[in-house]
Amino acid sequence: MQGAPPVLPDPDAQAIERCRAGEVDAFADVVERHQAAVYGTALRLLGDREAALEVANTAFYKAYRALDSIDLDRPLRPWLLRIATNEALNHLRREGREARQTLAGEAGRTALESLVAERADPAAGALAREQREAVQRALDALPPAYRAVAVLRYLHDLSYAEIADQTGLPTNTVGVYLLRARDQMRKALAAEGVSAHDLS
Amino acid sequence: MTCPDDARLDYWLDEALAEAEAAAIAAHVADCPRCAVRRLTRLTEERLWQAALALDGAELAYLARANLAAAWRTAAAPAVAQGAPLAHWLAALAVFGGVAAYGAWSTALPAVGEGAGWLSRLGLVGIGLSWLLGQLWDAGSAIDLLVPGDPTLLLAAASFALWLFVARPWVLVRTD
Repeated sequence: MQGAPPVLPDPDAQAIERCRAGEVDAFADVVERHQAAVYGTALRLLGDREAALEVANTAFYKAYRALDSIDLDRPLRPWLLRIATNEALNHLRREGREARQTLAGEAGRTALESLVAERADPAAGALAREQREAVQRALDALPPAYRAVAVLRYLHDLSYAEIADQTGLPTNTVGVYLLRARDQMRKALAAEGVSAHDLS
Repeated sequence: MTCPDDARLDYWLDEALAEAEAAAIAAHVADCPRCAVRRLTRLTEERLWQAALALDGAELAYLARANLAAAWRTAAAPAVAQGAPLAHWLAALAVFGGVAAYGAWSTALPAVGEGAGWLSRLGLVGIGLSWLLGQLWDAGSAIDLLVPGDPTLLLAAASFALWLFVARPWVLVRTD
């Protein structure tokens, strides 16, 4: 007779329980598991690596301080992404700017490192660097609210309902924002001569 | 059914439409070559954007160098140290023991020339120091409760006072 398959323990829930017991070190495991998602969200929203790192750090600190209020039956990542998204949008509001990469400074270094990385890992270069940069520029040109919705959709593959949960927007508004974001991105990419056909 | 407009097609691909409408569009796209091409174009575009937004090798390397998790591993160290003050106590005890031993030796030194009587005097000093040490150790535990923070500084100060009292170093520099 076969019993029910064993339920694997959720590593996030385990780590949070250890944190609640005073083991600060356990939160490092949470950070390691989710840092790419949190940092990626901040980076795509801000377009600046150092600012994204600062936002990711702040998001993790805020999450740690709110550990007691976490519902362990729900997945941790959406909650972390919500904090990171809000932090990044707050950062944009504080700075009063829409982060835009230029080919000087940070973006120049990124481009150079991308070249090195592509040589080391040919798979990473599958998507032409120019296309990546064009998409990032098109994203940067969006209003912050549209950008947040687009990042959650295309970076994290979230559904409308999940994006609504992350951003606090009504689901219908998410749909409208995403529609407008796509429309503006298509126009921006078309103006740069980048289209979906280039990929195929 | 006529061809859906761009917005309906996007909503359909995003699985954001009601079941009945989604089924109708799916049936239409299956039969309409133009909409089939539109669908493929949309999917390709989505793939392009997803690939463009994913962290690339250089961005992942930058994140790895930043080592965000390290702050949390470092933060654990003080918490562990706060829970283990035994090392502080042992260090204070070593200082106190050294000072007390020096004091005992300094007290006994002048008696060496007086013959066999010094042994009993040294014994008395030793007993006295042991008693004092015990008292201070007990006092240290009480002080630990009364004084917030680390009481080892207080114990070290007590050791120094004891040394002054027993060794009387000013005697050594008197010239008269």
